[in-house]
Amino acid sequence: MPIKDYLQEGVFLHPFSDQSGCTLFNDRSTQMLTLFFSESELLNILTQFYCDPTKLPDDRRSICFALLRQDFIHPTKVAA
Amino acid sequence: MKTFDLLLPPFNFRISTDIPLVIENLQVIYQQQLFAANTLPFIDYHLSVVFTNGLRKWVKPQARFFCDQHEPFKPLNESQAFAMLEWGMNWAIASYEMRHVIIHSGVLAKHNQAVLFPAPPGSGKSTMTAHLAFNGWQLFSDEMALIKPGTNIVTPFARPICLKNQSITLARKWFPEASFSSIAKDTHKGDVIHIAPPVSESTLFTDAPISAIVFPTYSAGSDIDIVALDQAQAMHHLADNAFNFSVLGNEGFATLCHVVEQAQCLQIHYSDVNDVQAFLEQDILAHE
Repeated sequence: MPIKDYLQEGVFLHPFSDQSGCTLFNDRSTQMLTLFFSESELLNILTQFYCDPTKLPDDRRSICFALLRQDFIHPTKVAA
Repeated sequence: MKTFDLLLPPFNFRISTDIPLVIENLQVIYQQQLFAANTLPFIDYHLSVVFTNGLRKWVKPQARFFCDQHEPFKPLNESQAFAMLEWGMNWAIASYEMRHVIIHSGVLAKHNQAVLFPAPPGSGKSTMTAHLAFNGWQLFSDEMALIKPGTNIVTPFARPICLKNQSITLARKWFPEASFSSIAKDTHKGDVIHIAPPVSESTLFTDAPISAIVFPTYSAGSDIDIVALDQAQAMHHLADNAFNFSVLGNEGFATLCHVVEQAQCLQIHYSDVNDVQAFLEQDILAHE
Protein backbone atom coordinates (compact mmCIF):
# COMPACT_ATOMS: atom_id res chain seq x y z
CA MET A 1 0.00 0.00 0.00
CA PRO A 2 1.55 3.37 -0.97
CA ILE A 3 2.12 5.81 1.85
CA LYS A 4 -0.28 8.40 0.41
CA ASP A 5 -3.17 6.00 1.06
CA TYR A 6 -2.53 6.34 4.79
CA LEU A 7 -2.59 10.15 4.64
CA GLN A 8 -5.72 12.23 5.05
CA GLU A 9 -6.92 14.32 2.14
CA GLY A 10 -5.03 17.63 2.04
CA VAL A 11 -1.93 16.19 3.71
CA PHE A 12 1.32 16.57 1.78
CA LEU A 13 4.47 14.57 2.43
CA HIS A 14 8.00 15.61 1.54
CA PRO A 15 10.73 12.98 1.98
CA PHE A 16 14.13 14.67 2.25
CA SER A 17 16.68 13.65 -0.35
CA ASP A 18 19.37 13.00 2.27
CA GLN A 19 17.13 10.32 3.88
CA SER A 20 17.22 12.19 7.21
CA GLY A 21 13.47 12.22 7.53
CA CYS A 22 10.32 13.57 6.03
CA THR A 23 7.94 16.37 6.73
CA LEU A 24 4.16 16.46 6.60
CA PHE A 25 1.87 19.42 6.03
CA ASN A 26 -1.86 19.43 6.65
CA ASP A 27 -3.40 21.98 4.32
CA ARG A 28 -6.65 22.07 6.32
CA SER A 29 -5.25 22.62 9.80
CA THR A 30 -2.01 24.25 8.46
CA GLN A 31 0.00 22.11 10.89
CA MET A 32 3.44 20.95 9.86
CA LEU A 33 5.37 18.09 11.41
CA THR A 34 8.90 16.90 10.75
CA LEU A 35 9.67 13.25 11.42
CA PHE A 36 13.16 11.82 11.66
CA PHE A 37 12.22 8.72 9.66
CA SER A 38 12.80 8.17 5.97
CA GLU A 39 9.71 7.65 3.82
CA SER A 40 10.25 3.87 3.74
CA GLU A 41 10.67 3.70 7.55
CA LEU A 42 7.49 5.73 7.98
CA LEU A 43 5.64 3.42 5.60
CA ASN A 44 6.75 0.38 7.63
CA ILE A 45 5.68 2.04 10.88
CA LEU A 46 2.25 3.00 9.52
CA THR A 47 1.69 -0.45 8.02
CA GLN A 48 2.49 -2.02 11.38
CA PHE A 49 0.32 0.54 13.18
CA TYR A 50 -2.72 -0.25 11.07
CA CYS A 51 -2.16 -4.04 11.39
CA ASP A 52 -1.46 -4.28 15.09
CA PRO A 53 -0.37 -1.15 16.96
CA THR A 54 0.48 -3.15 20.08
CA LYS A 55 3.46 -4.67 18.28
CA LEU A 56 5.07 -1.27 17.73
CA PRO A 57 7.60 0.11 20.26
CA ASP A 58 6.01 2.70 22.56
CA ASP A 59 7.79 5.70 21.05
CA ARG A 60 6.72 4.84 17.49
CA ARG A 61 3.18 4.04 18.53
CA SER A 62 2.89 7.39 20.29
CA ILE A 63 4.10 9.14 17.12
CA CYS A 64 1.38 7.36 15.15
CA PHE A 65 -1.25 8.42 17.66
CA ALA A 66 0.03 11.99 17.39
CA LEU A 67 -0.34 11.79 13.61
CA LEU A 68 -3.85 10.47 14.13
CA ARG A 69 -4.78 13.18 16.65
CA GLN A 70 -3.52 15.91 14.33
CA ASP A 71 -5.44 14.50 11.35
CA PHE A 72 -2.39 13.61 9.30
CA ILE A 73 -3.45 9.95 8.89
CA HIS A 74 -6.79 8.18 8.53
CA PRO A 75 -8.39 6.92 11.74
CA THR A 76 -10.53 4.19 10.20
CA LYS A 77 -7.85 1.70 9.24
CA VAL A 78 -6.51 1.22 12.77
CA ALA A 79 -6.99 -2.37 13.93
CA ALA A 80 -9.63 -2.77 16.62
CA MET B 1 1.40 66.60 10.10
CA LYS B 2 4.09 65.67 7.55
CA THR B 3 3.78 62.90 4.98
CA PHE B 4 6.53 61.09 3.12
CA ASP B 5 6.83 58.33 0.53
CA LEU B 6 9.42 55.72 1.42
CA LEU B 7 10.98 53.50 -1.24
CA LEU B 8 11.85 50.16 0.36
CA PRO B 9 11.93 47.65 -2.49
CA PRO B 10 9.92 45.53 -3.03
CA PHE B 11 7.42 47.78 -1.20
CA ASN B 12 6.47 51.45 -1.12
CA PHE B 13 5.27 52.97 2.14
CA ARG B 14 3.49 56.27 2.81
CA ILE B 15 4.27 57.55 6.28
CA SER B 16 2.50 60.37 8.08
CA THR B 17 3.69 61.77 11.38
CA ASP B 18 3.42 64.82 13.59
CA ILE B 19 6.35 63.76 15.78
CA PRO B 20 9.58 65.74 15.11
CA LEU B 21 11.73 62.83 16.41
CA VAL B 22 10.28 60.52 13.76
CA ILE B 23 10.84 63.06 10.98
CA GLU B 24 14.48 63.58 12.05
CA ASN B 25 15.18 59.84 12.19
CA LEU B 26 13.50 59.15 8.84
CA GLN B 27 15.77 61.76 7.24
CA VAL B 28 18.92 60.46 8.95
CA ILE B 29 18.28 56.76 8.32
CA TYR B 30 16.58 56.65 4.91
CA GLN B 31 18.16 59.66 3.15
CA GLN B 32 17.88 58.97 -0.64
CA GLN B 33 14.96 56.55 -0.20
CA LEU B 34 12.71 59.17 1.40
CA PHE B 35 10.57 61.35 -0.89
CA ALA B 36 7.89 63.99 -0.62
CA ALA B 37 4.34 62.62 -0.48
CA ASN B 38 2.81 61.51 -3.80
CA THR B 39 6.22 61.05 -5.47
CA LEU B 40 6.00 57.26 -5.80
CA PRO B 41 3.47 55.95 -8.33
CA PHE B 42 1.77 53.47 -6.01
CA ILE B 43 1.77 52.75 -2.27
CA ASP B 44 1.60 49.30 -0.66
CA TYR B 45 1.20 50.35 2.97
CA HIS B 46 -0.14 53.55 4.56
CA LEU B 47 1.35 54.00 8.03
CA SER B 48 1.25 56.75 10.60
CA VAL B 49 2.89 57.50 13.92
CA VAL B 50 1.18 60.31 15.77
CA PHE B 51 0.97 61.88 19.21
CA THR B 52 -1.83 60.76 21.48
CA ASN B 53 -4.59 63.34 21.92
CA GLY B 54 -5.66 65.37 24.94
CA LEU B 55 -3.60 65.84 28.06
CA ARG B 56 -1.25 63.00 27.06
CA LYS B 57 0.10 65.21 24.27
CA TRP B 58 1.63 67.49 26.91
CA VAL B 59 2.25 65.27 29.93
CA LYS B 60 4.65 62.37 29.26
CA PRO B 61 3.69 62.38 25.57
CA GLN B 62 3.04 59.09 23.86
CA ALA B 63 3.05 57.89 20.26
CA ARG B 64 0.46 55.74 18.49
CA PHE B 65 1.09 53.59 15.41
CA PHE B 66 -1.55 53.00 12.74
CA CYS B 67 -1.56 50.81 9.65
CA ASP B 68 -4.46 52.29 7.68
CA GLN B 69 -7.09 52.60 10.43
CA HIS B 70 -5.80 49.63 12.43
CA GLU B 71 -3.81 50.18 15.65
CA PRO B 72 -1.98 46.91 16.45
CA PHE B 73 0.14 48.17 19.38
CA LYS B 74 -0.48 50.04 22.59
CA PRO B 75 0.91 53.60 22.67
CA LEU B 76 4.58 53.97 23.60
CA ASN B 77 6.66 56.76 25.04
CA GLU B 78 7.46 59.50 22.49
CA SER B 79 11.19 58.61 22.64
CA GLN B 80 10.33 55.16 21.25
CA ALA B 81 8.24 56.52 18.34
CA PHE B 82 10.76 55.82 15.57
CA ALA B 83 11.47 52.29 16.84
CA MET B 84 7.70 51.80 16.95
CA LEU B 85 7.45 52.82 13.29
CA GLU B 86 10.19 50.31 12.35
CA TRP B 87 8.46 47.53 14.29
CA GLY B 88 5.19 48.59 12.69
CA MET B 89 6.67 48.18 9.22
CA ASN B 90 7.77 44.66 10.18
CA TRP B 91 4.31 43.97 11.56
CA ALA B 92 2.60 45.20 8.38
CA ILE B 93 4.72 43.00 6.11
CA ALA B 94 4.46 39.96 8.39
CA SER B 95 0.68 40.39 8.60
CA TYR B 96 -0.29 41.25 5.05
CA GLU B 97 2.42 40.15 2.61
CA MET B 98 1.22 37.10 0.68
CA ARG B 99 3.42 37.23 -2.43
CA HIS B 100 6.42 35.81 -0.58
CA VAL B 101 7.09 33.08 1.94
CA ILE B 102 8.44 34.95 4.97
CA ILE B 103 11.00 33.61 7.43
CA HIS B 104 12.12 35.51 10.52
CA SER B 105 15.76 35.71 9.60
CA GLY B 106 18.69 37.94 8.83
CA VAL B 107 19.67 37.66 5.15
CA LEU B 108 22.95 38.67 3.57
CA ALA B 109 24.56 37.88 0.25
CA LYS B 110 27.99 37.81 -1.29
CA HIS B 111 28.95 36.82 -4.87
CA ASN B 112 25.17 36.66 -5.53
CA GLN B 113 24.74 33.84 -2.99
CA ALA B 114 22.43 34.50 -0.07
CA VAL B 115 22.81 33.13 3.45
CA LEU B 116 19.86 33.02 5.87
CA PHE B 117 20.44 33.53 9.60
CA PRO B 118 17.17 32.48 11.28
CA ALA B 119 17.43 32.95 15.01
CA PRO B 120 15.44 33.96 18.09
CA PRO B 121 16.15 37.24 19.95
CA GLY B 122 19.40 37.18 21.93
CA SER B 123 21.30 34.97 19.49
CA GLY B 124 23.45 37.85 18.21
CA LYS B 125 21.79 37.78 14.80
CA SER B 126 21.57 41.55 14.36
CA THR B 127 25.13 42.19 15.54
CA MET B 128 26.41 39.63 13.06
CA THR B 129 24.16 41.07 10.33
CA ALA B 130 25.56 44.55 10.97
CA HIS B 131 29.15 43.27 10.95
CA LEU B 132 28.74 41.47 7.63
CA ALA B 133 26.78 44.34 6.03
CA PHE B 134 29.64 46.74 6.77
CA ASN B 135 32.31 44.26 5.66
CA GLY B 136 31.58 43.55 2.04
CA TRP B 137 28.29 41.65 2.23
CA GLN B 138 25.03 42.90 0.78
CA LEU B 139 22.27 43.32 3.35
CA PHE B 140 18.97 41.81 2.20
CA SER B 141 17.28 42.13 5.58
CA ASP B 142 17.95 42.14 9.29
CA GLU B 143 14.48 40.81 10.10
CA MET B 144 12.82 38.77 7.39
CA ALA B 145 13.64 36.67 4.37
CA LEU B 146 11.19 37.23 1.52
CA ILE B 147 11.31 34.07 -0.59
CA LYS B 148 9.60 33.78 -3.97
CA PRO B 149 7.11 30.88 -3.77
CA GLY B 150 8.23 27.72 -5.53
CA THR B 151 11.87 28.83 -5.65
CA ASN B 152 14.89 29.26 -3.39
CA ILE B 153 15.24 32.90 -4.51
CA VAL B 154 15.25 35.60 -1.85
CA THR B 155 14.30 39.22 -2.56
CA PRO B 156 16.14 42.11 -0.88
CA PHE B 157 14.19 44.12 1.69
CA ALA B 158 17.04 46.20 3.07
CA ARG B 159 16.00 48.08 6.19
CA PRO B 160 17.84 49.64 9.12
CA ILE B 161 19.44 47.11 11.45
CA CYS B 162 18.00 47.08 14.96
CA LEU B 163 20.67 46.82 17.66
CA LYS B 164 20.08 46.41 21.36
CA ASN B 165 21.86 47.22 24.63
CA GLN B 166 25.60 46.29 24.55
CA SER B 167 25.54 45.95 20.74
CA ILE B 168 24.91 49.71 20.49
CA THR B 169 28.33 50.56 21.97
CA LEU B 170 29.97 47.90 19.83
CA ALA B 171 28.36 49.21 16.63
CA ARG B 172 29.37 52.83 17.35
CA LYS B 173 32.97 51.59 17.76
CA TRP B 174 32.91 49.33 14.69
CA PHE B 175 31.11 51.70 12.30
CA PRO B 176 31.86 55.30 13.38
CA GLU B 177 30.86 56.66 9.96
CA ALA B 178 27.44 55.01 9.88
CA SER B 179 24.13 56.83 10.39
CA PHE B 180 22.43 55.96 13.68
CA SER B 181 18.92 56.74 14.85
CA SER B 182 18.26 58.24 18.27
CA ILE B 183 18.21 55.68 21.11
CA ALA B 184 14.81 54.35 22.10
CA LYS B 185 15.31 53.79 25.82
CA ASP B 186 13.67 51.19 28.05
CA THR B 187 11.67 49.42 25.36
CA HIS B 188 10.51 45.83 25.93
CA LYS B 189 13.81 44.83 24.26
CA GLY B 190 15.90 47.22 26.37
CA ASP B 191 17.65 50.19 24.76
CA VAL B 192 17.30 50.05 20.99
CA ILE B 193 18.94 51.87 18.10
CA HIS B 194 18.63 51.58 14.33
CA ILE B 195 21.61 51.82 12.03
CA ALA B 196 21.37 52.59 8.31
CA PRO B 197 23.04 49.83 6.30
CA PRO B 198 25.24 50.56 3.30
CA VAL B 199 22.97 50.07 0.27
CA SER B 200 23.41 50.89 -3.38
CA GLU B 201 20.64 51.34 -5.91
CA SER B 202 21.78 48.36 -7.97
CA THR B 203 21.70 45.92 -5.04
CA LEU B 204 18.28 47.03 -3.77
CA PHE B 205 16.61 45.19 -6.64
CA THR B 206 18.88 42.15 -7.16
CA ASP B 207 17.49 38.77 -6.03
CA ALA B 208 19.80 35.91 -5.05
CA PRO B 209 19.49 32.14 -4.55
CA ILE B 210 19.85 30.85 -0.99
CA SER B 211 23.14 28.94 -0.65
CA ALA B 212 23.17 28.32 3.08
CA ILE B 213 21.01 28.46 6.19
CA VAL B 214 22.98 29.24 9.33
CA PHE B 215 21.38 29.03 12.78
CA PRO B 216 23.66 31.23 14.91
CA THR B 217 24.06 31.24 18.69
CA TYR B 218 26.29 33.75 20.44
CA SER B 219 28.23 32.17 23.29
CA ALA B 220 30.64 34.57 25.03
CA GLY B 221 34.24 33.40 25.22
CA SER B 222 33.73 30.22 23.23
CA ASP B 223 35.63 29.02 20.18
CA ILE B 224 33.63 28.74 17.00
CA ASP B 225 31.73 25.45 16.84
CA ILE B 226 30.09 24.42 13.56
CA VAL B 227 27.66 21.54 13.25
CA ALA B 228 26.21 20.43 9.91
CA LEU B 229 22.46 19.83 10.12
CA ASP B 230 20.67 17.24 8.07
CA GLN B 231 17.64 18.37 6.10
CA ALA B 232 15.07 17.13 8.62
CA GLN B 233 16.81 18.98 11.47
CA ALA B 234 17.06 22.12 9.35
CA MET B 235 13.36 21.97 8.45
CA HIS B 236 12.46 21.49 12.10
CA HIS B 237 14.33 24.68 13.05
CA LEU B 238 13.29 26.67 9.97
CA ALA B 239 9.59 25.99 10.48
CA ASP B 240 9.84 27.61 13.93
CA ASN B 241 10.87 30.84 12.21
CA ALA B 242 8.43 30.76 9.28
CA PHE B 243 5.65 33.38 9.44
CA ASN B 244 3.13 32.75 6.73
CA PHE B 245 3.77 29.40 5.06
CA SER B 246 0.52 28.11 6.55
CA VAL B 247 -1.45 30.93 4.91
CA LEU B 248 0.11 30.12 1.55
CA GLY B 249 -0.82 26.45 2.01
CA ASN B 250 0.99 23.76 0.11
CA GLU B 251 2.84 26.35 -1.99
CA GLY B 252 4.47 27.75 1.16
CA PHE B 253 5.25 24.28 2.48
CA ALA B 254 6.78 23.19 -0.84
CA THR B 255 8.88 26.37 -0.91
CA LEU B 256 10.36 25.69 2.54
CA CYS B 257 11.15 22.10 1.50
CA HIS B 258 12.80 23.32 -1.69
CA VAL B 259 14.91 25.89 0.20
CA VAL B 260 16.14 23.24 2.66
CA GLU B 261 16.91 20.79 -0.17
CA GLN B 262 19.01 23.36 -2.04
CA ALA B 263 20.98 24.88 0.85
CA GLN B 264 23.79 23.84 3.16
CA CYS B 265 22.40 23.91 6.69
CA LEU B 266 24.57 24.65 9.72
CA GLN B 267 24.37 25.49 13.39
CA ILE B 268 27.15 27.83 14.54
CA HIS B 269 28.09 28.68 18.12
CA TYR B 270 30.46 31.66 18.11
CA SER B 271 31.86 34.50 20.15
CA ASP B 272 33.69 36.38 17.38
CA VAL B 273 31.79 37.47 14.26
CA ASN B 274 35.09 37.58 12.32
CA ASP B 275 35.38 33.79 12.73
CA VAL B 276 31.91 33.32 11.26
CA GLN B 277 32.68 35.65 8.36
CA ALA B 278 35.95 33.85 7.57
CA PHE B 279 34.29 30.44 7.70
CA LEU B 280 31.41 31.46 5.43
CA GLU B 281 33.66 33.15 2.88
CA GLN B 282 36.22 30.35 2.75
CA ASP B 283 34.15 27.21 3.17
CA ILE B 284 30.54 27.92 2.26
CA LEU B 285 30.33 30.43 -0.56
CA ALA B 286 31.51 29.38 -3.99
CA HIS B 287 34.00 31.93 -5.25
CA GLU B 288 33.50 33.70 -8.54
